[in-house]
Amino acid sequence: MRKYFIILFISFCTFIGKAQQHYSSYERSLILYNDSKNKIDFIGKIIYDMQFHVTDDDTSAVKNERMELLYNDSVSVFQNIRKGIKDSVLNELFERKQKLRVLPELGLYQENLGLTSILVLKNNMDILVQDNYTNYLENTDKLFFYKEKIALNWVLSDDTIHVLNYVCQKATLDYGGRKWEAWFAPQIPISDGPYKFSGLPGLILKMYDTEKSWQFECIGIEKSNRAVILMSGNDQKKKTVSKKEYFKIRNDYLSNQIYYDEKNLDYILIDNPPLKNKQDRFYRERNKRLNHIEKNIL
Amino acid sequence: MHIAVFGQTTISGKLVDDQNKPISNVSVSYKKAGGTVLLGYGRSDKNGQYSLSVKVDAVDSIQLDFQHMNYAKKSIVVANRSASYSYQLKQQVHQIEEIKGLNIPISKRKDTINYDVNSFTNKQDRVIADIIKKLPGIEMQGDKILYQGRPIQKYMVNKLDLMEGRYGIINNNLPADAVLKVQIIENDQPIKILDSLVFSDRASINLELKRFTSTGTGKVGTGAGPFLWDVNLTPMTFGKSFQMLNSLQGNNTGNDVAKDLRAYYTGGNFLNNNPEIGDGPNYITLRSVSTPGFAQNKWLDNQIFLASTNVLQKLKDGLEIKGNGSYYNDLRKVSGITATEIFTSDQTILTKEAIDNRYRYKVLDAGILIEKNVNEVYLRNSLQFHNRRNAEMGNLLFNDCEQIVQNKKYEDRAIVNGFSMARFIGKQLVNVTSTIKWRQTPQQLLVIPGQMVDILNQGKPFDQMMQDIRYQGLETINGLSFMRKINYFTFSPSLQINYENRKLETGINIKEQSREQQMGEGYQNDLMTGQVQFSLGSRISWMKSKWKLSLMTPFSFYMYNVSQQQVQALSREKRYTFNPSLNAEYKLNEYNSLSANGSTGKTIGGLNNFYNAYIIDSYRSIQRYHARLLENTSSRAGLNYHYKNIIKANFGHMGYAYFEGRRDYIFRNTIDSLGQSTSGIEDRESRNSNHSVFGGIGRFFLPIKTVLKINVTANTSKSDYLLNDELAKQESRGIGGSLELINNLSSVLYGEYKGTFGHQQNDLAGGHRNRVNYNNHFLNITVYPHERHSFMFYNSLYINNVSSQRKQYFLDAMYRYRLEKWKTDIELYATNILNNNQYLQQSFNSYQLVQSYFELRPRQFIISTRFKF
Repeated sequence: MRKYFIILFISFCTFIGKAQQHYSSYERSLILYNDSKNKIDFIGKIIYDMQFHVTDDDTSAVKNERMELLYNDSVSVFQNIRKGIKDSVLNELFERKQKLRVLPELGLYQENLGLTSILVLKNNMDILVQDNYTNYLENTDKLFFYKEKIALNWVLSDDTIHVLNYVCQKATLDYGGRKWEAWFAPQIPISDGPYKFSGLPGLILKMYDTEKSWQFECIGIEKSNRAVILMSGNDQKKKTVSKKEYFKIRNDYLSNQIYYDEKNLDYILIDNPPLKNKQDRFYRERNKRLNHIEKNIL
Repeated sequence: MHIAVFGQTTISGKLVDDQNKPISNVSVSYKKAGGTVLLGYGRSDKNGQYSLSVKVDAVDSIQLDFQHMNYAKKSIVVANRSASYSYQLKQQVHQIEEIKGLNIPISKRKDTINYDVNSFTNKQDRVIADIIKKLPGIEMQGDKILYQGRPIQKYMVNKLDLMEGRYGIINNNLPADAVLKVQIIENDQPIKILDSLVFSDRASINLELKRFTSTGTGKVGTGAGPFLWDVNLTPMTFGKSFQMLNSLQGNNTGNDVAKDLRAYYTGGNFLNNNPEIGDGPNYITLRSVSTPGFAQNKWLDNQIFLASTNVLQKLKDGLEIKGNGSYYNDLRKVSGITATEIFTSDQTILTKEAIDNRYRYKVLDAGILIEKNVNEVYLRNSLQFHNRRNAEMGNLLFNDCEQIVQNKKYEDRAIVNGFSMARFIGKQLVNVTSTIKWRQTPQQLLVIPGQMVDILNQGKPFDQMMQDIRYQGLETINGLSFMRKINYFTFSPSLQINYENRKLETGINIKEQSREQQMGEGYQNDLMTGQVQFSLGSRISWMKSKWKLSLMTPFSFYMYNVSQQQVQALSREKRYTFNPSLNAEYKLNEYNSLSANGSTGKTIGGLNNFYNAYIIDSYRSIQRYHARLLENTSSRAGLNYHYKNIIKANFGHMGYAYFEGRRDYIFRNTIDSLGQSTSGIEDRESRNSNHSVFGGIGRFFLPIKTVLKINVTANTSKSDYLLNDELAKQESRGIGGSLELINNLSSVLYGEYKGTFGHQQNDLAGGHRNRVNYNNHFLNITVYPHERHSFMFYNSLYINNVSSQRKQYFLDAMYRYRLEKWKTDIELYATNILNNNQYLQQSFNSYQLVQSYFELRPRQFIISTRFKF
């Protein structure tokens, strides 16, 4: 009896150890995030419905995600609306100096956090992308930044449509291995849009690639005095890689996900080599087919 | 060398603010003066400098627009010529109009479509059915819910199915404000063990409540014209692992609450072994008048009392135990007149029957169900008991001269047990099912005075005739099936052994001048039938990305034993059937999908008609059959197209169905000049066929909060019939449809319109042609002059092509007063305000045209209070 008890106790301890490791990673990420020097205040937000095919080959598997574009007169941030909600909750807790709690206790279950954790910060032509490609909670280990300077060669055309009661003009673009069609509203003096797309003389209200495997449609325009806090300058520098490098790291992770996850204790598989192999094959196979918004990076 | 074709001009300049500081990031665009589309654009740099290369020919002047979020917009028209223009921009924060289109009331996640209940709720909606019927993509036929034109497969509350298909009682009594969202789960496979094995194309509905709660509705009302009462108390509890619903209802206002006990599904899918207990065979009918095809509460003369109790307990290991019991006692009165024209090849027979019937139904049902539905194992056992006692009495006046009394007694007792278990053995899923059904159905018909004198009393009139029938049946169905998935294929071979045994004893008793006489040979049946069925079948399905195919090939071997009057009529008679069917589905893209199906094969029937001595089945018709097995061969094919765009809330479907049947027999009807009929079976091949096309769309217009639903069906059919020894063909063609508009926009006015139309034409032998046309319009308008007061007007207009009564208009109205503090409504309801007392309709079948006048409920007033627990 006693013997069993000890075994039970040991396994309980390892369980706690595991849990704490995550816990401290939250804490770390929050402390990094709560440096007021890197706080950006916004005046409004544009809400987009983003619809995309999960894989290249199966156009029937469609996902929808709601994204927000927060803007002020010089900078904008494009991110998952649920990420925004989660960050506000955590910031609020931090500001009140309340004890940090695990996300599910706040009602922020993994499944409510959405599929996309990308954050695109646009400052004129300078783009800073922060992405955590695992989507696994807020694991800073897999959080990276890359910078990009882009000049998008928009071509205006004469076509117009109405979106949300605004007259929108069509503009086309080649970017990321896709041909894009965008509809922008000259009436709205925000030269911005979803993802990295910007620079048109008006806000992009609707945009999609010609295969319709990525589609954005504006569904709301609201005032908002939200703030976004980015990782502080020094820490950010450590995490910043080149764009190519970032995609390499991501690709490496997605292809060998099972090993990385195990290493980070995110996901433990019972010692079952066949099952592990199967899962590994599944990840590799899936990664080959995943529908990335930018096609021609690697 | 590049040669410029267009004249190229460069316009540049500098932009500064009121303190002459440069402004960067000002968007500068140009277009033709007076034009709408921008032709080019640029942006000011950090020194406020901008430069535009203007490439536009044959234009004298262009318009420059300067825009920045923090400055007032500036537009100027300048000459199309290289120049420099510098401006000072005025500071002004640009107000962007907010658009809160955010709450799209329908969203989709994986296979689940969520309807946000609040966005579809209107002030007058009380129970969840009021919401569900409005949702785009959903259709309600009475209490039955259809999604994309097909009945739903499961109705759950918090993912638990308490009522097993009898969802009407929840739907009509669950307060709408207890529900957070209505979810449609597409491609739902309710059996977990099958999840990765068998693809389901059916949809289930789930109501997600705001919290675990006890709730329910109640209603108490009384009224006059004559004395009326209406009571409904339906409390329900939805907990984490326990659900319960009790209901006590009673009324004489024409609301047939027994329909709440009807099951709209029995989980009759794969593995689910939940046989429907149903009703026993009915050999006799009381002559009645066909009921109007519209709102029952306008015509049903009833007195019903109903009690129902249902519980569900989910245990820790995933085992669910459900129990239900219900009883109702219903008294109905029906009166009206039926005029029938029967077209035989040489004459038209006219009959008229004035009908005054009373029906008393006492029905008791009870059941207990044990289910374990987890990933590793599936187990289900249901035991059901059913007892029905009907006593029916009718006074009939035939052709305005003969008074006939009909008296029917009918009892039905049945016990059904269904068992099913499935689990994996290795990679193979093994499923065992077993069902046992036992039933006893005695029935009796008494008619005074005696009819069909030629057959029953050598042409002499007599005082009364009585048909006695005793029926007993026992049936067992036992199956074993396997299922295995290999790559994209799922193979499932199966084996079934069924046995059925029926016993039918009948006798006719006639009374002449108070002398009773049991009629002898030719009027007595002592029939025993036995049937063994041995089936081998396989189902192969193939599924890959956009394609789903499945092929079923059931082969059956039958053996029959029949003895009639102790004489062996069939001894180990053998038959085979093979009924293959094929289904294919192709998903074009996220919005569009196509499917096709086809089947062909043979069924063996006739055991029900094996009696060769007479049975009186109504006061004016008598039957006996030349006993033999009957063969039906049929082929079916269908094509379906579905469209759905969740984000825009557009739904559509259309399809085509074809049926062709061939029988090696035909029913022979002989009708005499009084309209009394004799039927039998003749060995003569007959055919029937049917083509139909159908379609529907549903659309939600968000800006005007309006739901539009349109459904259309057209069909044409041909069939053979044999009347008075004349073989003939009837051809019929019809088209029907409906249009529905539900508007929710205004907060003081709410409108709902439904229009249905139909045209049916029937061509018979001898050049007879019948046409039935109808178009019905229903308009419900609700006005809320004040938060607490509301007025509802229900208009219905029925238009048909019967010359004597073309249009019938009904008006009902209701006033409702809301006591917010008590969460109670007080309602004053007036029905049939115009006091229409008769309704006329017509219908036809293969050789007769029937016009019926039905006595309606008179004008009446009810005051009631409706509350929420």
